[in-house]
Amino acid sequence: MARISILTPTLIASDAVGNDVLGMHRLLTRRGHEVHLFAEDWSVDGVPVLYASHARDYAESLDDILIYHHSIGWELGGDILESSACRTIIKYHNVTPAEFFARLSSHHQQLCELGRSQLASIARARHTVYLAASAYNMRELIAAGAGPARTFVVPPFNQAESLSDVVPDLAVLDKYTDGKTNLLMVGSVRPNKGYASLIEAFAQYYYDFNCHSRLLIVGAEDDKLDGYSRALRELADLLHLEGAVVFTGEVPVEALKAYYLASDVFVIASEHEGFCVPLVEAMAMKLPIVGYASAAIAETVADCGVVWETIDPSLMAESIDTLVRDGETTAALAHEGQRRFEAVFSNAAIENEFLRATAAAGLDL
Amino acid sequence: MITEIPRTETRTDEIDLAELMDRIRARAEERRANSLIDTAAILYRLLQTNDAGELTWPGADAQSEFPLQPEFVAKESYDTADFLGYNDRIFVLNAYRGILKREPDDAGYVQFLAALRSGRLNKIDILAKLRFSPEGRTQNVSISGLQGRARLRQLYRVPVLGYFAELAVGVLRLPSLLANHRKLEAHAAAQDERLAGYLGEAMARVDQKVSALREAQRQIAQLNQQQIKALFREQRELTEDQNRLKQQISNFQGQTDNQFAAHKLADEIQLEKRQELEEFVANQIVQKLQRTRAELVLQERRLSLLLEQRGTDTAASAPSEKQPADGVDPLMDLLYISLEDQFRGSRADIQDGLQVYLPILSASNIRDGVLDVGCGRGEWLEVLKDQGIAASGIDVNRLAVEQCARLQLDVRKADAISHLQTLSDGSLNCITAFHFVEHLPLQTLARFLDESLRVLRTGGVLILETPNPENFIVGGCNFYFDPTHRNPLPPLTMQCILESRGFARLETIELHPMIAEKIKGDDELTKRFNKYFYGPMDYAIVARKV
Repeated sequence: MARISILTPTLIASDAVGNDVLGMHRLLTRRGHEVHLFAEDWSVDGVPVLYASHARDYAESLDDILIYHHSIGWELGGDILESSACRTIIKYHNVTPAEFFARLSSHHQQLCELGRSQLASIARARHTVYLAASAYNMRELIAAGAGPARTFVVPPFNQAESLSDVVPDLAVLDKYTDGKTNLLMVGSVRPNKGYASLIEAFAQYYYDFNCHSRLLIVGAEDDKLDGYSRALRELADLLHLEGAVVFTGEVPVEALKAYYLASDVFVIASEHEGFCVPLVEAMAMKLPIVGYASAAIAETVADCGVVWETIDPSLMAESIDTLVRDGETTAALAHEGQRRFEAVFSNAAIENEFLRATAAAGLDL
Repeated sequence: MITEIPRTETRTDEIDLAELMDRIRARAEERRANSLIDTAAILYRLLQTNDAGELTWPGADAQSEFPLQPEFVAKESYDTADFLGYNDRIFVLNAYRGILKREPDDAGYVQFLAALRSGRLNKIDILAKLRFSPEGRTQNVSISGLQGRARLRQLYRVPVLGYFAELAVGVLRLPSLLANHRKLEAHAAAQDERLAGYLGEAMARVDQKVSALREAQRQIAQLNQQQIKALFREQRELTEDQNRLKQQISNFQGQTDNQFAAHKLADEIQLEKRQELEEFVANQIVQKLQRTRAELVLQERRLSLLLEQRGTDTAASAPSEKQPADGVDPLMDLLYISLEDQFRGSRADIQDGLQVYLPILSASNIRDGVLDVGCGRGEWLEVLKDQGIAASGIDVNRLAVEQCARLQLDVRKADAISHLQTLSDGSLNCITAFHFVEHLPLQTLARFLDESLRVLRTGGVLILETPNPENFIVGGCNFYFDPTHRNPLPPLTMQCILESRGFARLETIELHPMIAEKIKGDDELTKRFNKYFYGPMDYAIVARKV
């Protein structure tokens, strides 16, 4: 049994990287390994987390394994990884291209630039194995220098499965099951998520098809990006959609489930996604998906949603209308989504992929 | 090697995604071509793509902050002055970023900022504290001039000596402080100028934004107006469609109604025809049956006559008991007349009651050939005579026959059966017998009926009137007022006997209800009581030979 350290800059129970870290922790602990979590900043219950710099003490021998989650620039993490003398697994969640944050937040821009430059050094460093959240991420890793033979696709562990056990927030459910058509997007309010395009497409749907509808944007808003948040609200006001576009901010999982239940279609206009966990949640919650095929979106959705190659609000609006009105097609897509979720994105399926990929790289986990 | 997220096996039987997307694309294109409002174009005019390929709109540009302090550039070695140019919050942030190469933690940031603002620590103190902390030593950033100045700051903290040392350094640095003051004045003036410039720019941006927003407002108003127009048009088209549809429905309904009426009529005709046919067939069968039955009765009668004849022949050869000539005791005749006077009512009352039979005769067009059996005092024969209908009567009561003769009625003293036996087949149109049958034993009744059937022509009528035992008073008491009465004959029994002897088309007429005695009331008990106790005292059966 190995001593395994999992290292991530921030560990939050509700975000994509956090769920992936905790999923790995669960699996590896269950398989009898000694697993430790390290982060610089964390907010999780039930599992002990140590300050990141202590990870150095757990990564000194070849018997040890260090799993490094790369999703943002992190100097301390980079240093620890570089100085480690143990076997290393890189989990690549993708780093948002810094250009998205230009003129909006130099803080984010710098972190992303750093993350991108770290990607190159991490990819070239011949770590034991590289696990990419999607084929899109894998291509980036390989392009940055990672050896194709030691690079694999393993989707991130997620909370979609546990959503079914959560009791939905009834107040939210009551509020939004009022006869209006609800379109849902889940994701933090950041410029790479294409919210402006989404609001544009929604405006087209709202004015051309159904003014008895609303767009629910469920996701945390960042103080450092308040210019972006403000601009989106101004856009909604400009298009006379005030009230029809709802920003909920970050919500607890009970409310999240209620939003999934109250919605008719999951819509996504994101311009950059390394994987996109909310798509998997939508599949698990039997919600049909309409979106644009940027980055990893098309491969995550595959055949259980309507995904357009080009950004075209009229196609998006037409798709939404078709799914809202054609119950049979919607049900078929939802069914297909659930099948895909169970076959590919359930934690059991991901565990298998994780073990297969690590075994292929010679790690007996 | 795992190279991508596996695709779930496509199940074309469930959904053909390519076909769905083609359908959506075609619909979107059709909509674009036919839509009254080009929402996409309006949105496009409002939202524009900038040089970097990003979607922008009036108000999208986040207002840049007015840079009151120059931007801090992170590097490996600094001069103390690199930090001292910043003030307050920015100074603390830059000190962390420059020396510890990280963002300040919340506790440190708050503590240093408070100390700086209170004057407890100055900038040199903070820089020194960070630089010479364990973390600062690890980062080992070089800051020239910091160490000397920090030491001097330490010297100032020595009691008494520190005060004089600070004073001496102060005096020595006075020219430099004055120069600094002048620099500060010039800087403040420059800042004012920059601020004025910035405000001018900001105002220009605001103006620009306001006019962009006005334009957007105009576009949206146009969108709304077009939308309303389109809605009205759609509504009008819908109303027209609806009216057309209503008309079609009403036409269709009219056609349906006509068809329905025609069908109904055809059904009714068919039903009528069928009923007629059924009636015809039934009548044929009934008539045939009745004829057969009449034939049978006739044969039976003939047989019994032959048997009787045989018996008479046998008796003639044997010695017989002496009988009175007509077999009736004259004293009994008197008694019966008395009884009739007592219980049957006055002549006028009886004649009133008999009026009910006249319509039956006229309906059968009977103007003659009427025989009244048991005619008694001849009330009925008198009624018939008044109507000009030729009729005769028979009775066994000699006194009654004599009474009739006095009234010049055609009446003879005769026994009914014997008299009938003298008449030829089909020689009478009508036989009446009022209060007669209840005097006969069953076998005699049967023979009377058989003879009557024989002597009546086809279509001839037999009218029998008799007390109604369904009235309990009649059945239990009044019937026995006349001791010569044999059996009360309930209507059903009488009908049954008549039918069995070959009569048809029976008709029962209820007569003489005890109206005056009836108890007032509508309840079930009263109704039943009135029916059984005060119902019709007599009834008549009209039977026909067919």
